[in-house]
Amino acid sequence: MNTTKDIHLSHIKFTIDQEAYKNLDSYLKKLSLAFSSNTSKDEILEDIETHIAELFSENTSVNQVVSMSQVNKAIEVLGSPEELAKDEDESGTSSKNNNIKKKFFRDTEDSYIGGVASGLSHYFGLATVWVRLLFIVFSILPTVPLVLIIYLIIWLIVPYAKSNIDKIRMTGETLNVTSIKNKVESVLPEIEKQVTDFDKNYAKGIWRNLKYYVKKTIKFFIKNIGKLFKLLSIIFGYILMFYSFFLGLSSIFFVFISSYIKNIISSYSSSAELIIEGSTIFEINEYLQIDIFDIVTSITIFWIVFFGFLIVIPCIVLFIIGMKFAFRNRVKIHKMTMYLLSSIWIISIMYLVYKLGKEIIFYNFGNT
Amino acid sequence: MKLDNTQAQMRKGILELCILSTLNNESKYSSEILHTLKESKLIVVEGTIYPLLTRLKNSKLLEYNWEESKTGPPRKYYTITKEGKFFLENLNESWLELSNAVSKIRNL
Repeated sequence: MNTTKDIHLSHIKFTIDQEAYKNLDSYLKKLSLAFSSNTSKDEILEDIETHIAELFSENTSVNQVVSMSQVNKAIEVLGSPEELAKDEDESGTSSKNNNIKKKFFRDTEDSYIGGVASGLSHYFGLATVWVRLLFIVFSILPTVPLVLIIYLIIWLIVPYAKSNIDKIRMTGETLNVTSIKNKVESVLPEIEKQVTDFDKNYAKGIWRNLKYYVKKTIKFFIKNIGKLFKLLSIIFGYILMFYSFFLGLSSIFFVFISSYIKNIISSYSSSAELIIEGSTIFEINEYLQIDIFDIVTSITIFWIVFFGFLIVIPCIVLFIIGMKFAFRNRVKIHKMTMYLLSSIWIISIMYLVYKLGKEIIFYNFGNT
Repeated sequence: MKLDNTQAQMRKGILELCILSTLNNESKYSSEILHTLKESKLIVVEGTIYPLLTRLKNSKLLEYNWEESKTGPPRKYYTITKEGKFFLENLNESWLELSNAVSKIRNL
């Protein structure tokens, strides 16, 4: 006893033996490969299916099961995939390239934004993590706009790997250290050719090209608007992280410097005998003595610390927001941290207001 | 140098001419065309004809319309177009020239 399967070829239903079905299916799949470089592949395969259907219906009466021998006979009549593929190659309709050349594609299956990093890593045979890391490092440095532009250009120009053949070409053979040199050498003339081709096209019709690219760009943006926003928010996050970090660091630095200066001045003013080598600072201080003295006496360590908090905490918060933008949900910040930071900040602001108010009142009363 | 290969190449060159010739006076569907070609041993495996027919159709030398069949799936009946006829005339001329040239040289 054998199991059967119902199939339809060219809208005609056949009941076929399970084993025969497997054979037929693999035959059709191999044919699809044999004609893969033909632009009318689908039509040819359809015609061949129709032919098979014809052969089956000639030799099978109603309710009869298509057997293995019938499938084999049909394959024999139509020709093996190898025979047909050989004809394909000789017919010269397609310039089929037997050795698969590696090509740069974006990998949208493994992507955060546009699959540029993963595409690059496939192309150079590196682990994707390193390329991503490189992108991140360059986006933290003040090279943000450059990285942004390069990324966008690659995203715009390089197609993503659509078909299986693209995917094979994308991963291709991986490069090793010795072959990189060869690769670069072989790629250089290609680039030159592309550049000259571009020049030729450019001369042919600047407007046509321009129109084409503008159209393509607009289409691209409309299609990828969601991703674009995502990308922009990630970049925004990185920039925010970078500048808030910078601002925080510099304000901490400022706090230290000012407390240091205070120490110097207060020690000078208390002993009134501080001698600084070269005595330039000394002289300056003598001129400014009163002013500085006034200010300095009003600055306390608390002042400095609270002033620092006032700037540093928003910087930390901005940094966290930047991280949220840049790394999305991969960053988890505990709510308590936020509460703590904001309460410290509020306390410092209240202290500042209190101090300022006291100073003003004291000053006013002092004057009158 | 393989004999099969050379023979296959020779056959292939004239296959288009033969397909167009069989359709010159009447429209046929693929099995009928195949029948003629197989009789004269121009085609060995039947699958070969489909890429050819598709290519001729895409070059607008042939066109087809569907016709129902009592016994099986609907059939594509191929008809030669005006361009196809013109193309065939040219091919016929070259064929005559070629065969004359070949027989001349072989009889030298």
